[in-house]
Amino acid sequence: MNLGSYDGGRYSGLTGINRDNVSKLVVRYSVPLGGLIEGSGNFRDALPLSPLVEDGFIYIVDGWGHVSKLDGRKKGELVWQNKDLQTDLDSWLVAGRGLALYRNFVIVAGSDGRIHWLDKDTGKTVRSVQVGDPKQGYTIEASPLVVGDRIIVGGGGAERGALGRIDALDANTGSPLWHVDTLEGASNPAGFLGGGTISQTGTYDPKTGLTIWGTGHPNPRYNPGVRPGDSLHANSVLAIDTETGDLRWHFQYTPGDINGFSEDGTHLLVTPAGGSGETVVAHFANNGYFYGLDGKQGAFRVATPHVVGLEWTAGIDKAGHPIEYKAGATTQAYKSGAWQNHPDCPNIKGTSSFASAYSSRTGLAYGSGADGCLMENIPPIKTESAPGWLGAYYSGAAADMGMLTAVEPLSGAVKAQRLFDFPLHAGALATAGGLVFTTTAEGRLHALNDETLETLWSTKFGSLTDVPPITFSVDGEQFLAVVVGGNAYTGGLPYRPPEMGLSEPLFVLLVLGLPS
Amino acid sequence: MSARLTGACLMLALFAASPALACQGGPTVWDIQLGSKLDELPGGFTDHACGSNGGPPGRLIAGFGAFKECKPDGEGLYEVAFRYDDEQEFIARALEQSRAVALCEGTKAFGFPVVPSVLLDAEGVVRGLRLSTDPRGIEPADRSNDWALGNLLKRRYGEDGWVCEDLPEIPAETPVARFKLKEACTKSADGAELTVQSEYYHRPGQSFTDEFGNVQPNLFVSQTRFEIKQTPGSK
Repeated sequence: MNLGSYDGGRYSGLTGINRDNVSKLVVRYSVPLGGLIEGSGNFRDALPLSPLVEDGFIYIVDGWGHVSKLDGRKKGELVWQNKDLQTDLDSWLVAGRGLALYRNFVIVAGSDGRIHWLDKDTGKTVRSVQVGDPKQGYTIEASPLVVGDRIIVGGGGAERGALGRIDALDANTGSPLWHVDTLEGASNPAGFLGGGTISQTGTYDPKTGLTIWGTGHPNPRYNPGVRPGDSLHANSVLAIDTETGDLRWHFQYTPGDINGFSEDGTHLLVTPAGGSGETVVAHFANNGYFYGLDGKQGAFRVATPHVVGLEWTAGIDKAGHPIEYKAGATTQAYKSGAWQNHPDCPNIKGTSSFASAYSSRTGLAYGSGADGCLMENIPPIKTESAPGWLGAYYSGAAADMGMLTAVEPLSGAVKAQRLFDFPLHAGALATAGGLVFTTTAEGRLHALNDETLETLWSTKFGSLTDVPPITFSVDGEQFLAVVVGGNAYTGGLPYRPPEMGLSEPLFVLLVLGLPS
Repeated sequence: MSARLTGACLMLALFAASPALACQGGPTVWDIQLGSKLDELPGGFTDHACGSNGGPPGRLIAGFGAFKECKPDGEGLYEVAFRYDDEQEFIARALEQSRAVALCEGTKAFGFPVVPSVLLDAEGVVRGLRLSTDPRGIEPADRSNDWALGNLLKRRYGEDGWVCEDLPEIPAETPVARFKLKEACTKSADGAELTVQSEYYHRPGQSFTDEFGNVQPNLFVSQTRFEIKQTPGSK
């Protein structure tokens, strides 16, 4: 599934690629999958999607909505490609992040608000269901989540003023089963103009039967004056009964936010060592804190800063609220004007919706993003063509240095942290081989020691990437896959190293492995 | 103006005093009440100009008080466009400080760049407000969302009670998406007539790629136009 498993951990138990041999990785094959100029494609580039692998076949949707099945035993030979779903789509819509598999179907979320069932053998579209109204801004960015015979769909569209919603469909018929408005019960309906949308796939806890989803910012994002109150349940995590659609609990990270935070990133489900303890919901929040919540009731357990230098609040209280929070207040007294020389701390592009990871080997959660808090001792940004280049295209470039943080989720203790010259827009992958893999936006794949985050090996590809790596095995051999692509309209990368120039629009799946 | 709309405006004015960056808290179009006289209009706006029915502002004038330098429309109303004080936003843009740019946001409604204007009668009484999305100087990625401002405006005045109808088609215009949005919605509420017009389509000859496959990302119409006018006879 999209995040590797129901707990969202993006953790693989494979050990074929490990600390001892990772430096020997080579590209075993590559598959060019799409290009902007092929037709009415998506202008916004590939998103942090994840290919799926089953029985040696790779299923992938590209940034333009084409779905492909590749044969992992034949160097990615194309089995079929479905381009029908892209017909007549709005090229400015945000592309979907990935697929789901259900019985003999590939489940595809269309950015126009439809869910499609493709025949896994032929790629033909068997069924399409419209979930939300694109005229109301509704789109689908997050991968569908299959739980039993249900397909759970989170609705996006924050840029178009959509109202957040989560739907469950019957996986066999497409019939709607339940529907949750993420903003239902908003504390001030009169001023609530939208938001609470979904951009990252939810997780599922089989022990409680709950599916867990993070919601994005309220609208208008930066003007709290026209949405007084807490803006419930925007910037929240919602726990929904998978069977009934009942909202069992919620936790709002920054009630009545005034700084533009958005908490639609991954919510990891962490089971303490031994497997007998209670599940912890772990989240690298866009507000700069790492949170641990009780998985059964949503009670607050721990919050610690995962970036250094936060100023918007003096801290988090015992209830999990920012210390300045006042229940019932029309607007909250968080700091906004006090840090005008420090405005991008925490970076709103940091950990907003990137896929974090959790390693049961180390017991650490890994969150990626961009910094924005560093003001002093910023190391020079290095590129291959211009060592020591300072990102002069962009005065605030240092604010977008990539950051990967390893946190012990039960205590919230930061165990390791690592800066990168370029932002991590993708997410992380942890493996039992003692490794964490991630990509930085200029197109470099990094293999890191999963305890210290020191680089063990890295390689640079010829174009941008904001797609997290995945790993899989075919006939007992472990592979690593990453998507490389970018185009002149890519909005996610605020500055580019000199050698990148304007990247050509492309979308290539690279599969790496040890030399055969 | 009705108690409900007046109340909403008062509430918004109060919230404008909340903790904020120095650029925040200035007056917005929502602080202007229907039925206000010239001396009751908030200060702090800049670049007053004769309006052009929601289009780019025309000749600069000294302020709202100089409204008679503009030509009245067919209803005898004088349109005066204006901008918010956006100096701090420009500074933030120069420094490429993304959050400060967003927080200071310039002349925007709910995050969308707009051209706001007031409609004054011959006595200088505010009889209406007009907002049009402003396509100038923004990236096509952002402009592509301009039609969605209409949804937010409709929610602001209550989702129920709107009557919508499609606008006439131009021969050979085509959808941008699987849907073509070209509609005008109206509503009467609390002594005011509201109109929201939202459009998202390709004009004849426009498409995202040409016949050679070259990308034309800016060739589309995406806009919203909003008017609130005092119902004749209401106070």
